[in-house]
Amino acid sequence: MLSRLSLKVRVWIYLGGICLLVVAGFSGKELLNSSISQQIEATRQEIDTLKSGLADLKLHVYRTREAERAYFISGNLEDFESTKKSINDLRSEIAKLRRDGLDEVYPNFGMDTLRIVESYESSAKTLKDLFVEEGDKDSGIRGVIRNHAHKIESILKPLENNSPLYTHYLMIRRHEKDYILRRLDRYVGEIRDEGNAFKQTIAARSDIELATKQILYEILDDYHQQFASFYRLDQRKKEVTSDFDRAVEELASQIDLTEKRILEFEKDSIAQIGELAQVQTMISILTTIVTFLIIGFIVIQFRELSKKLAEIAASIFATSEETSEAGVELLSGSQKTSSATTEQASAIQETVATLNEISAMVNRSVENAKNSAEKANDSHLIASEGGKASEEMRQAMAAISTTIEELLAAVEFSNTRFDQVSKIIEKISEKTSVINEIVFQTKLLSFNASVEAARAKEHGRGFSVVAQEVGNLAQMSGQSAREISELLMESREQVSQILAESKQKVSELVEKGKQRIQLGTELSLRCNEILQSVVENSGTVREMMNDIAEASKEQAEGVQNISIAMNQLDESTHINSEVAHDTANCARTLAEQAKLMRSSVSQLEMVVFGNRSSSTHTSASLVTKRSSKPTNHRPKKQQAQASAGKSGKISNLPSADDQGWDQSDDDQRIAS
Amino acid sequence: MESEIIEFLVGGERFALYLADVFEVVKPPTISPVPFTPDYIVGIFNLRGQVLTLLDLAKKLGIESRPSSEQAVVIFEYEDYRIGMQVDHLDKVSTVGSDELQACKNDGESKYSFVRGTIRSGSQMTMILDLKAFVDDVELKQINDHFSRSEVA
Repeated sequence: MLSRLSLKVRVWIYLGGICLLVVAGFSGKELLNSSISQQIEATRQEIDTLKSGLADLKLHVYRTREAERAYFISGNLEDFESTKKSINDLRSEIAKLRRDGLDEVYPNFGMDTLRIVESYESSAKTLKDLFVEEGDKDSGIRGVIRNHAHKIESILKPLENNSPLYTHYLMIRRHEKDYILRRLDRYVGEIRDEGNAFKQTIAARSDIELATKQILYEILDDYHQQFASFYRLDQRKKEVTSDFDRAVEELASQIDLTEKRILEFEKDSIAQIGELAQVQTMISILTTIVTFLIIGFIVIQFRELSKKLAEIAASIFATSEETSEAGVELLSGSQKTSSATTEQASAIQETVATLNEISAMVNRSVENAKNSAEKANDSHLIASEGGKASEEMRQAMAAISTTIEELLAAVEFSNTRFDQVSKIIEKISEKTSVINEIVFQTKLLSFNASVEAARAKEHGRGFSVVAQEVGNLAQMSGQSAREISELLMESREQVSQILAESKQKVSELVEKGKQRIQLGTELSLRCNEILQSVVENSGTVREMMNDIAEASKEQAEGVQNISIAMNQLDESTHINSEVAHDTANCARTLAEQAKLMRSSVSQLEMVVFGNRSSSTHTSASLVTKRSSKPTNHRPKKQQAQASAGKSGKISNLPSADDQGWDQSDDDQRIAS
Repeated sequence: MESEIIEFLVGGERFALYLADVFEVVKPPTISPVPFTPDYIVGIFNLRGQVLTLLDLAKKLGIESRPSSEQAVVIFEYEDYRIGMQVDHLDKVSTVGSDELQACKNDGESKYSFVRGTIRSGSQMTMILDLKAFVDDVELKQINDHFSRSEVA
């Protein structure tokens, strides 16, 4: 496909291809590099964000812990609010981490941590409820306890000698305060013991009214109950605290786990990037190899191109030589043409003379054609009459044929008559046999009469004679009947014979007659046809003769025209000789141009191969390959060269080179 | 002394019987063949209610029969026997003189004893048959006795 394009386009295509490849290879490599570095950067950023987010999360956990502790200790609502706020912060922090893509690294993180925070919050709410239930010095359980204490005090105050009782009361209050401050279990037991001791002391006092005593007992019991419930509340608070601890612990462990996961993710990403870098290296190596291959291909193409150029130059070289030879031949040819035109002119004059003679001949042939046409007309008439006569003959033949058929019918009729005769004869012979029978019986009767007569001896003698006579008569009539029957037999045979013979003969004759008539009819038909064709032909001949006469007239005119044309031809011949002269001049110019072309070819070779000493040899060998055939061509070539040398206008090739070509030619043939 | 004879042809030969021995001459009747009979006994036939035996003379004499349109049966009488004899052709009744008749030496032993005598008239020779030779036949007698004896008696 490439070989169809021009050289310039091919060179541009090759250069453009190389440039495109180089640019594509480098840009591809750069693109890959930048994408890898971007990826690295993005991964690093993500990981950093996650790390810092986790650190913030830790901080928030600790803050929450602090707030919760503060609330636990103080029980203030403000502290509860700050705890709640911290928990919300924690939640938003987790959400932020999830947004930053922690779920990709560690999918369970969000769910787990949120669950923990949820439980944490519910624990905080429980704690708040507990605090509300506990209350302060005016409300809740603590308020009830304080009221009971004041009631006891108001009862104790008006009593005389109330100091031991007071001591008990104050001891209980002291233990109560101690518990509230320190929250130790032993104070609970001490309060119970002190309460019992207080009761015993009251019971021991007789000065106190029983009703008062009863009231005191009741109050003390209720106090104890209330305290017990207070203690239980306290215990529950402790449990809640442990819940908090567990939640915080879990959270911390989650965070640690997440940190580990992030580290692992970082490692994986770095490994992936490493693989990408390897792929990049591979691609750059491949690109280099492909580039080298294409450059190699192009180099080969250029080599072939230069080879082809050399071949073309050589062929042009050879062609220029052939052109110069052709110039010489053209020169001699034009000289020959010039002499030929001179001969032509004389021939034309001779032709004109001949034409005049032809004209006279044509006139005579016109006369003859007219005469012939008249004769043809006569023969046409005669043939028409002959046709009519033959038609009549044919009709006569048909009449004969019908007559023969009638004859045949008549013969048939006479035959039936003969048949009837023969039947009659048969009847007669039947009758004859009856006569024979009668004769025989008569004979028998006469015999028997004789027998009777013999038996009658002497008396029958006369009768015997009569009987004998009758017998004789019978014998005679029998004889006659036999003769008649023989005659009949004979006549019957004759009749049948005659019948058969006449039948055969008549049929033969009829057949012959029929055949003859058939033949005659056919002949007359053929005769008719022939006459018809004669009529037609004579008509055609007449027309043709007319045509000939017409044609001859036209011919005469044509001959006139030819003689005019001959004059023109004569003039043309003069012009031709001038043209031949011009052609000779042109041939000379052609030879000079061939020389010029050869020098141009040498320049082309210089351009293609540079100024090398071997260049001429290369082109020469190529010339040999293309133009020279086996050595039997050589003499002609030499001759041409010799003639060229004589004219002194063509071929200045060194003869040494010429020999060199032949040498290489021989080498080649040996090789092949 | 003159005597009348009836002449007939069998196998081209001319034979004769004395007219006195002949009972009747008839056309060939309808024959009923009888089994176990020799070939010269043709069979039996009916003559006006009387059953008679028919003898083939040609076969009896051992000559070839030449049948004609005038075939006939001659019925003869000998002793008590009345027997039909089939002949090829009845010729004529004629009267012969004793000078014409030449008797044969007939002793009854010879196998040619069926000829009683010959008549010569010109080149023609007629043999007069001896009826005794025909009737002295066991077969003929048996068949005749069997079918017709009682009728005659």
